[in-house]
Amino acid sequence: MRARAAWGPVLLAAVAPAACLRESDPFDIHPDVVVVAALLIAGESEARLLAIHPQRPLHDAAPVITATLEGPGWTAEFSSGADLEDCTGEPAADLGGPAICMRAVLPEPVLPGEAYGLRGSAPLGSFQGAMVVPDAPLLADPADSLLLPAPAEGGPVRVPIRYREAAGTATLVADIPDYRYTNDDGDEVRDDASSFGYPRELDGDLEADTLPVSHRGTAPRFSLRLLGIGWNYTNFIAHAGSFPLPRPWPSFGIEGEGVYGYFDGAAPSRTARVLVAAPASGIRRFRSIPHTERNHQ
Amino acid sequence: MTGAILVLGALQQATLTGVVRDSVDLEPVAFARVTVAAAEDEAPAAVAVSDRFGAFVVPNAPAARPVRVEVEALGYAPWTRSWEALPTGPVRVLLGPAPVGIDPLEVSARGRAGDPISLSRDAFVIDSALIRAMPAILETDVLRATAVSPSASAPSDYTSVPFIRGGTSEGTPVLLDGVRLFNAFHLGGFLSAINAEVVERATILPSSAGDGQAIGSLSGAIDIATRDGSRERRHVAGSLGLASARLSVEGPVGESVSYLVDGRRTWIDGFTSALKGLGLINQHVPYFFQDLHAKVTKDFGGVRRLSASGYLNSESLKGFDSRETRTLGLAWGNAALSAHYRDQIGGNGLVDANLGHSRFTSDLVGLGGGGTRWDGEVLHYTPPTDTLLFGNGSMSETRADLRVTWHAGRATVTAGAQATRFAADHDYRLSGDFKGDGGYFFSPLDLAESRWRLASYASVKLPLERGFSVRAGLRADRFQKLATTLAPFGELGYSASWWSARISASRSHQALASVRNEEALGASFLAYDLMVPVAEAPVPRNTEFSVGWEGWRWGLRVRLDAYARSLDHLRLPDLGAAAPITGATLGDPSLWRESTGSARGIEASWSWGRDGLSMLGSYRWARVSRTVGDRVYTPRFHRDHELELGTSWTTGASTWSARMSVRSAQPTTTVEAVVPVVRYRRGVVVDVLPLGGEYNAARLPSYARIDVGWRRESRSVWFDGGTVTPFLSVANLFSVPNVVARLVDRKTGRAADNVYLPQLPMMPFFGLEFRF
Repeated sequence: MRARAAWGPVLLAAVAPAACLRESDPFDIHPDVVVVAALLIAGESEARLLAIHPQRPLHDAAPVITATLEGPGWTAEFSSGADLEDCTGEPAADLGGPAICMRAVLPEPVLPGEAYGLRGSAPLGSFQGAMVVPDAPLLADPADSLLLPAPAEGGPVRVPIRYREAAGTATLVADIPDYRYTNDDGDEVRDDASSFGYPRELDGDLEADTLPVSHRGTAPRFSLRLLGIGWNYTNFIAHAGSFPLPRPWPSFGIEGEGVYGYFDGAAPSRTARVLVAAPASGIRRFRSIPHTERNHQ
Repeated sequence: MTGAILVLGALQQATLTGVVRDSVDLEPVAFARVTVAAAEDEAPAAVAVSDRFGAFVVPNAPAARPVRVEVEALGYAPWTRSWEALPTGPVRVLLGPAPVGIDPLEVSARGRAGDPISLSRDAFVIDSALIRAMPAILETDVLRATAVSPSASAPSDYTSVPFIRGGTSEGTPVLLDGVRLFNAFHLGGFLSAINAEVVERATILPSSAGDGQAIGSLSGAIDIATRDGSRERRHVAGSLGLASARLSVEGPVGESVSYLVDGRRTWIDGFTSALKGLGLINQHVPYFFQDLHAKVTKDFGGVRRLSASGYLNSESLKGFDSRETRTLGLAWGNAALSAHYRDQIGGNGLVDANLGHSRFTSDLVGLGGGGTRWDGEVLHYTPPTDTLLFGNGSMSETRADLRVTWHAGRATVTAGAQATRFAADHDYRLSGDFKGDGGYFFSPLDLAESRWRLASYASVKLPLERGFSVRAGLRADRFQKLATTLAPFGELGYSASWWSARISASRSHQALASVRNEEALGASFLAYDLMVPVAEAPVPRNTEFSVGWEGWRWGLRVRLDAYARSLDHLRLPDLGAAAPITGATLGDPSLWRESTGSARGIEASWSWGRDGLSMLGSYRWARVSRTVGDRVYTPRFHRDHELELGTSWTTGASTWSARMSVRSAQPTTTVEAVVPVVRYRRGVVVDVLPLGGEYNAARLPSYARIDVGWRRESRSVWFDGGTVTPFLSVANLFSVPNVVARLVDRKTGRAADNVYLPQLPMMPFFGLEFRF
């Protein structure tokens, strides 16, 4: 890439004066194509499915699809009504076309190692999907709670972790679903860890790493967990780019007429709570947070 | 009785040998037609054509009676001598220049080899005059000129080295005075590294049959011969162009020795530095290339001669984006030495001995870890110091070749022995950070192999009755620790008064394989190649069949060739699970898979000339495929149809030229869907996943380009006379937006589009050539 970067200016310098570039042109793709993205998280009793019309203008109507999730001995219908943010994690995500976030309430939490199916219909035909949720990864260290000193010279907090990847995992990420700190006014502020690179991919073979976590405000505290994600999602993300991926494609978990996307599962590890000591406060004791409180901090 | 008559006939026949030279500078004249006839007869008794060193051997000439010898060559006045008896020693033929047309291509200066179609049935010969007649792209370029051959196809506008009949660069060596020159170009392949000023001719050998047998390559060769230095007096010639300056000095040393020294140096670095100093551009380009070539020739009289050539070039880019957080430095270099000795053996034979050594070296370093920090008032810059990429490598080939050409009766027998050693040692390492960029051009590489190749070959050319003729040959190769192979060829020909035809079959092998991935996008922009002998048998193999026809009438000459070739045991990179176009151009040989390829096509070329106007054209239809594992695809560089037309018109001292290329599209992969990438808890960044159809089953837009050129030779009053020739050319005159690749681009808030990467836009070039 650096070689390209090095030659690129030479090439552009040669090309730019004449400005005889061929204009871009639109794709000849059916406007009713639908993209479906669904990632079930083990332990959750709700499934979300995002559907997009990528070839339609943003102001067009969102896709009209039906979808049914098939679990072990049960089915659950997806219905509209969820906010797009529930599916994308962003309040105003640019999805490239009109989109809808659908939700299905499950009769039981999603189970690690279990097979799930997806069936539905879209404007150009029916679609179906299948996947197996990976087993949950092991977060060996830190323990349920960890107190770290504030970094002496600024910079990120470094959290040592030990872990083990589980069967069926294609991508292992460290996730910080909840990050808070105290601002100068003494108020507690919640921040989005995606702004400093989380979820962050881990090397499943290493089994140990040190995670840099941004140090913001005073006494930042956050929850840390690992997430093992399956092959369908991993294949999908791995081939994002500017050039077409020729057939045969790897499995994305969904097949159907005019329907593309992925259907996969992910399993989280237990969650550890990390507190960074405020330099001036001299905090030396840290109370373990009971399980019942962990997800409500 | 019959035997006695044959013996008597044989006793009355003898062989005439000699050398044809230019009468002014004594340079050898190739492709001169030598006829020997009995003085009292009109019809020639024996005919021969002078070879690249001007030498000729005419067997079966009438002996012991008066004879008349006539020599004709394009651009020279006919030469005729009569003797009471055929001379027993070598004859020296000095041809006087004459601006006359005796071939379809009209000439106004001496030194034309002639019509590129007619000079060799095995090849397409592009002489120095034709090279100059092409509109210059940056400057007069010998490798770009070869694309007028229907067998040669440039993979993109950015690379001057063409591919031959569906083969790729590792199968088509570029030879300079008989020695292989690696990566014979500068500017990533845009400009050939051989100074056009000293090139006598470039010969495209499209197959392994006939003259290609001695090369022993998979896909023919591009054989570039430099001229001898002038033996008349010292001459200085050169040119000043947009990118570089060239200079050559040649002259005699004593009576029988001549020298030729030429060099070239770009001024891209100085030019951009000056522009930056004037504030006209922001970024200086610290890039340069330079090359130096020297040749010494000793004429011992008759056909005996000894020549030695040396070649040296270097190319360097240092810290191009040095104000960025990363930087790249590279240095490539080439060196080649060759020596050739020719002598006569017996009355009917010539012996050629060649020694050559060539070496290419590369050195790369990429730094990262730099950064910028804004403190609210000042932007602090930290230069890159972490080594992300480093590596160096070398390739070398040493070759010794001894060849005997013997004229026995009506047959011409050629036999030779060859020893070649190829050594390669490439070591490139990339850090994870560098790989994170996608490994666009490089991938980690650690290769060290060397192999001897010993070969012997023989061929015979024999005219039969009623216009038929045959050629047949066999080459045996011993590839050290790999295999012993036999490569035969055979050809049956027929000649009538105004047309000829032939059918041939041939096979060839080579142990070299390339780490280049022609499917990678970078392969369209950078022509660099790193080669290495395959580590295990079988060795790559080419099997080829061809049929040809050639006719000439009313000043028009037409040649048609049809061929089919099978390439076996190739080493090609697996297409992999990702989009192949995103792969590294210089890839990892551990990804090699033993693969096959095929090519078949029909080639037509024609030439015509009259009253100062000459035209040369070629059309080629071909299908090319590669099979890697269970995937069969058309390689990205291939086009099914290519039409090339070149024309020049000389009026007074001005020569106008035009070259038109119309080509069908190159392959690409259809986009079936553009899928926004929704990442877990990261929402949608602008990423998309373009899902494609069958690999390379679709086509990019087709290609058209017209280049025009003008040059005017005028006498100079400086330096005791000489000529000054300003030239002007415009590439892609109508600025046709040709493309080299297509990609998917999605900008925020918009649907994705097809975006095209451009070929060469409309660009003017100008310069000045001089000769004193």
